[in-house]
Amino acid sequence: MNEIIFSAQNLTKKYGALAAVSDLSFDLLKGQVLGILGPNGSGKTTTLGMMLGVVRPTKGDLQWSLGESSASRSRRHIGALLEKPRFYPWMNAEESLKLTAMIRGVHRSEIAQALEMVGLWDRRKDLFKNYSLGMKQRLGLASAILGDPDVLVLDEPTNGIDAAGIADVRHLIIEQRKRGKTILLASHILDEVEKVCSHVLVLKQGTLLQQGSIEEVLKGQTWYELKARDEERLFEVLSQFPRHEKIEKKDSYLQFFVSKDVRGEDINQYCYDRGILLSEIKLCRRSLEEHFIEVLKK
Amino acid sequence: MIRIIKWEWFRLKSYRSFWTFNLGYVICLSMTVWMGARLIEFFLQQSAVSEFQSLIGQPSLQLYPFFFYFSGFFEPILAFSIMGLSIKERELGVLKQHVIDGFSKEELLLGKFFQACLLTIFAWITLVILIQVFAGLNTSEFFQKWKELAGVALRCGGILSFGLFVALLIPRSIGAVTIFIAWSVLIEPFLGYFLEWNFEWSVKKYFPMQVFSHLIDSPSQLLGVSVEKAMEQNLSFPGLAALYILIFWGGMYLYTKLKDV
Repeated sequence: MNEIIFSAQNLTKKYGALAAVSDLSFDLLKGQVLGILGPNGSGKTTTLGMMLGVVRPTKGDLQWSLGESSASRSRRHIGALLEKPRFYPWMNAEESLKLTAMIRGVHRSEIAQALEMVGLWDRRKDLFKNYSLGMKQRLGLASAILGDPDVLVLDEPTNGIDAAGIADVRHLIIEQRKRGKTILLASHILDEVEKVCSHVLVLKQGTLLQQGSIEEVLKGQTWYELKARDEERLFEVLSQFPRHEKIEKKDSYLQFFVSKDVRGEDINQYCYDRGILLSEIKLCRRSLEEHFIEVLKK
Repeated sequence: MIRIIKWEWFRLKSYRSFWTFNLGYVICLSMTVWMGARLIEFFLQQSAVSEFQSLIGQPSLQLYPFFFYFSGFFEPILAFSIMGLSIKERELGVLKQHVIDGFSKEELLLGKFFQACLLTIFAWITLVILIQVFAGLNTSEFFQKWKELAGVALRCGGILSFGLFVALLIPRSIGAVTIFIAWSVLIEPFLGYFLEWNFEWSVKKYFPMQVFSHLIDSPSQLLGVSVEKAMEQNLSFPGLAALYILIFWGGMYLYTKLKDV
């Protein structure tokens, strides 16, 4: 589980004076589902481009450890969808995947499986140019999962896909995660990232703001919302709670921040022992989206 | 290697413009060979120059220089067929996808090289077949002219390499074709004359497209000169033509290597 399969050291990409990515260092571990977050222009796609060999880093080193002698051979173990699906408009889905299969050295029999997984088997003879945006995206995903690669790199995989399709894509990613695949997911739909990723990496203007597991990143981001008839007395009692960090008033609630090991029933019991009956107690957790917005503001 | 060849062929065969241009080449060359064979025969029969009378019995022999030279006029059509695909692939971003899927930049370039080789072989075989069919040549006669046949291949390879080089530098099909034509028929001749008139530098013949198009001597000496002279056809600057081909591929390699896909 702790085997490093990709490592980037001081990765930098400059376009003239503009640094799209600056001194970015991170590791990707086997079986990890890493979400890359960042606003538009934060360097997500450039980073993925460098990882996938289509963007030359201005500085820094990157290394895939997939048991191959060269970067291009390593990429055959990676299924990727970068920015948007790119296929020949005059080819149908089956032909498009045949080309991918030829490059990756995958047997053609696996094409049917990939098309079925993304729900395009019945439309396999249709030309790519006649596909809707969502179908094109599905074909891009089929190309990425073709041949059951060890690593998946997906850049905005749900772009243009309808609600049911998004659920399918999420299901597909979760399935791959269960099978121990390593996944790198760049998406601006943070709810999606939170649901499927184990780790995140936050970029802003090409620099790394934060990285770690979702738990680490959201550590200290849980609190209780409490309500009682006598709010002032409740505030007074809670201020004396041994492991409390902070109390804030919000609307008719008190937001009570405590250390991680404190349970809701401990608080309830504590209040009850001091003659306060809680009318409401609710565990709240900051979403990745809220956290992300706050981190970007800093 | 086989994998790249198969992959190249798979892409080319599905690209309609490739077939359209190649068909255009075959039609143009067929018409030229057919009409040329008859025209030259006619002129030779009409000629009062005594030396030509001896050749009328074996007219096909005089047709070699004509066809070898004039087939070069249509080779740019072949170049357009692969230039279009090359530019389209960049516009659509599929080259990027091929790199992502596991091709190295060197393999992509090798694929282009195979395209050029495939079309050179196609052009060469088409010429051989058409001359045999329309001008009645037999194979043994044909291979007496091995040097010129090699020249045809070298010239075609050069024109295709130049076309691919231009296609790599110019990101739009129309722009690339315009530059290709303008370079060949305007820029090189005018630059050549300019340098000659102003500096007395006679360098026009060393320019790449001039070298390729005049690699096989023009048969302009066919009429009105001695038989021996008419039958002589030499290769001009074959070494320089090969050097230009190397320069184009080296340039493409450097450009591909240093630029993002």
